[in-house]
Amino acid sequence: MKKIWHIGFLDLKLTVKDKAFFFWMLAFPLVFILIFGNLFQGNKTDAKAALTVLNRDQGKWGAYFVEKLKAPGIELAVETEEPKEYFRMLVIPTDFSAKIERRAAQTLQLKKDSAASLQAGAVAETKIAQAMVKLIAELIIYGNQRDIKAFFNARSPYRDLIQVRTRLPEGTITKVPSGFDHVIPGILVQFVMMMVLIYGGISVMEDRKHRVLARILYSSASFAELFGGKFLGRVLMGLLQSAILITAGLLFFHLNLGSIWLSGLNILVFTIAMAALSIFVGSVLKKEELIVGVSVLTANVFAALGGCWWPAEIVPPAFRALGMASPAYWAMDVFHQVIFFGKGFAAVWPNFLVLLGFTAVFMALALRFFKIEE
Amino acid sequence: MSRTTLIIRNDIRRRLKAPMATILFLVIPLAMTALIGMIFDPGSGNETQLPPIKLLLVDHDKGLASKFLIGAFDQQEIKDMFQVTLVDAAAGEKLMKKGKASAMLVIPEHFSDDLAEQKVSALEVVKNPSEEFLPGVAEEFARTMAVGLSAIAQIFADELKVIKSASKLELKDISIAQMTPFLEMAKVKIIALQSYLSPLLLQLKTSTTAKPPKGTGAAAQPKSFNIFSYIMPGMLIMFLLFIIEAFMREIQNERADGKIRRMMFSPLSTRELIMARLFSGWLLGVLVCSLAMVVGSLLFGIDWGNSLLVFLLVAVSCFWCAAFFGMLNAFFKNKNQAGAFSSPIILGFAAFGGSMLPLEQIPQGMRWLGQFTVNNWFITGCREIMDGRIPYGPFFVLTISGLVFAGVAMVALQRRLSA
Repeated sequence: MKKIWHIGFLDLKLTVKDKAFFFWMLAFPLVFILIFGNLFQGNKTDAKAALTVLNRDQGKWGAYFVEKLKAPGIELAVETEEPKEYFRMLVIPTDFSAKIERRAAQTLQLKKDSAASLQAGAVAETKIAQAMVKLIAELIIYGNQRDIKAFFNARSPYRDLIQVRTRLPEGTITKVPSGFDHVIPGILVQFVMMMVLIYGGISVMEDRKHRVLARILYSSASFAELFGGKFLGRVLMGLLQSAILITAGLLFFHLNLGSIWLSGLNILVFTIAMAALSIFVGSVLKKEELIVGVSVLTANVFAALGGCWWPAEIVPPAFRALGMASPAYWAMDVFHQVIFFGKGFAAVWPNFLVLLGFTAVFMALALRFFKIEE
Repeated sequence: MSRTTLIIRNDIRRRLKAPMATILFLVIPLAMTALIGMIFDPGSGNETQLPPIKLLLVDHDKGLASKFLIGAFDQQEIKDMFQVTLVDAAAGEKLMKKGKASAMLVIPEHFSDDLAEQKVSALEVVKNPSEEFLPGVAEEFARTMAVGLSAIAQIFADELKVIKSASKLELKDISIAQMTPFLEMAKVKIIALQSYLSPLLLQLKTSTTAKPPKGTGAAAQPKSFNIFSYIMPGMLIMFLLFIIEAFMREIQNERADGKIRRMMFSPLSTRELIMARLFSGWLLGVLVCSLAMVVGSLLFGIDWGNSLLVFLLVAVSCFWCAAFFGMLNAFFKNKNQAGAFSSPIILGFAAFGGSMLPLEQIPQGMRWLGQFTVNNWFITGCREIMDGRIPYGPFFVLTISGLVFAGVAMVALQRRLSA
C-alpha cells in the first residue's frame, strides 16, 4: 500500500509542477463558471426582459396601454423616436387611440433583435399578451353603450382577482438556486473528465515511452502496485481539481452543495471511473496529440449528453435517454438530487452503482491494454 | 524546385503519413456541431421547440372555474406545450419532491365561489428547483391564465353569482322563468364580446431583425435559419487553432532533436526555413478548413455563401493562426513550454471569441475581450458572408494583425534558430 501511495503521490506532484497546472485546474474552469453562471443569471443588460416601447399614438390610449405593460420582471423604456439600438421594441401606431375608440381591430408590431436573449424575449411577449388581455377586458367591462371618451374619468374597472404565488416543493431547498448553483456542478464534472483524461492519459503514455514504468518494475514494486499507484495518481488529480473548484465555488459564488459528504462521495466515485478510463486511453494511444484529441472529444460528448452544458430539461427526450450512456449523466443526477432536493444516500445509491459499473468496464479495459513497454 | 517548396512538400507529406491527429481534430468540430445542432435544431418553423413541459394539476376546487381552467389545457396548442397530469395534493407533492415534473399548479378550495363573489384568490405554482427554464414558462402561463380568468369573472360577474346560487339548489327548485333574464343578459354580453374578440381587438405580430450592417441604415434580411451554420464556424476555428498549433510546434521538436541544426549545414537560410514553415502551416490549415466546410455543406446543408469570399476568409484566418503560433514558438524555450501555454491560449480564445457559446450571449465585459481573438473575427466573417455581405472588418483586422505577427515571427525565429 505504501508503494501504491508513493507512486500515486509522485504522479500528483509532477502534475502540480506542470506549468499549465494553474490554468487547467483553476483559471480556465473559473472563466467557464463566470461565463456560464452569468449567462444563466441573465445578461445584465437584458436580465429584466428589456422592452422598448415606441409610442407614436396621438391619443391617450397609447400611454394607458404602457401603464398596463408595467409589471415585475420587465424593464420598460418609452420612446417617441425609433432608437438605434434595442433588444425588442413594441410599436404603438399613431392611430392606436383612434382604432380603440372605434373598436376596430389592430395589430401591434414587436421587433426583436436576433442577438437578444430568447428567454427574456419570451417573458416580454407574455407580459405584452397579459397587458392586451387586461385592456380588452377593461373595454368589455366598460361596455359598448357608454361614451368611450369618458373611460378615463371612471375608475379602472379591471382588478386582478386571481394572483399567482410560487414556491419550491416542501422538504427541498428553501432558497431559489442561483445560476452558479446550476453551473458549477456541470463544470466540475466536465473538468474532472478533461483533466484526468488528458493529464492521466499523457503521463501513462510518456512513462511507457520513456521506460519509466519498466524502471519502476526494476524496484521492489509489483505490477499490481505499479498499476494501483498509477490509478491512485489519477484519482488524486481528479480530487484535487474538485477540491479547488469547490473551494472557489464556496468562497466566490456561495455554492450550495447540499450534503457535503454525499457530494464528495459522488465526486470520488465519478473520479474513480475517469481514472480507469484515462489509463485505458493512455495505454492504447501512442501520441500526445491523439490523447488530447480523444480526451477532448470524449469529455465534451460525455459532458454535453450528461447535462453539464445546458439544463437537461430542454433536451429532447431521445437525447436525454442517450445521455444515460454517459457517466457524467449519473454524476450530475446525484448532484441534482442532493443539492436541489436534499436527498440522502437511499435515493442516490443506484447512481453510485451505475458509476461503479462504468468503473468496472473501464478498469477491465485498462488492465487488458496497460503495457509496461511499447 | 526551390528549397522552400521542397520543405513545404516534405512537411505536408509527413503530415499525410501520420494523419490520425489531424483527422481527429477535423472530426471533433463536425461531431460537436452535429450533436449540438441535433439537440437544438429548431426545425422548419425556425422556432426553438421545447420538449413538452410536465405539469401536475391539483384541483381543490372542483367547481366551474377550475373546470374551465383545466379545460384550457385541452386546446391543441397548449396540449403540445404541456403534458398535464391531474393528481391529488399528496401525490403531487411527492412527485415534485422527486423532481418528476417541471411544475405543479394548485387550484385552491372555493376558487369558483371566490371568483363568483369577486373575491381575490391565489393559484399556487410549485416549481422544480433543479430545472432552470421550464418552471418559469409554467409560471408565466399560469399568470396569463389568471389575467384571462379574472377578466372573464368580471365581465360575467352577475351571471356567475346566479350560477353559484343555482348550483346550490336542487334541479326541481330552479325556475327557468327566473333564469331567463340572466340568460338574456349573458347573451347580450356574448354578442357584445364578439366585437372585441372576433377579430381580436388587439393582436401582436413579431418579427426578428439582425443588426444593420455598419454604414447602412437597413436591417439585414432574415434568412432561413440553419442552426448548424450558426454553430460550425466557432467549432471549426477552435480546432483549426489546435491543428495549426500542433504543426507549428514541430519547430520546437526539430530544434530539440537537432534536425534544424543539420538543415542549416545545407545552403538553406533560416529565412527560407521559417517562410516554408509558416506557409506549410497556412496550407495545412486551408486544406483542413476547406475540407471541413465541404463536409459541413454535405452533412448539414450549410450554405457558406460566396465561395471566393469564404476562401479569402479561410486564407487570412489560417495565415493569422500560422503567424501567431510561429511568433509564440519563437518565444517558447522548448516543446513542453509550448504545449503548456498554447492549449490554454486556444481555449481562452474559444471561450471569449464565441466558439463555446454564441458571441451575443457572452457577458458584455467578456465580449470586449473577444475582439482580440481570431475566433471572433472568423465567426463574424462567416456570418457576414452567409448574410451576403463582404466582411471588410474581419479581412482588415486578420490581415494586418497576421502580417504583424508574421513579421515578429520572422525576426524572432531567425534569432532563436541561429542561436
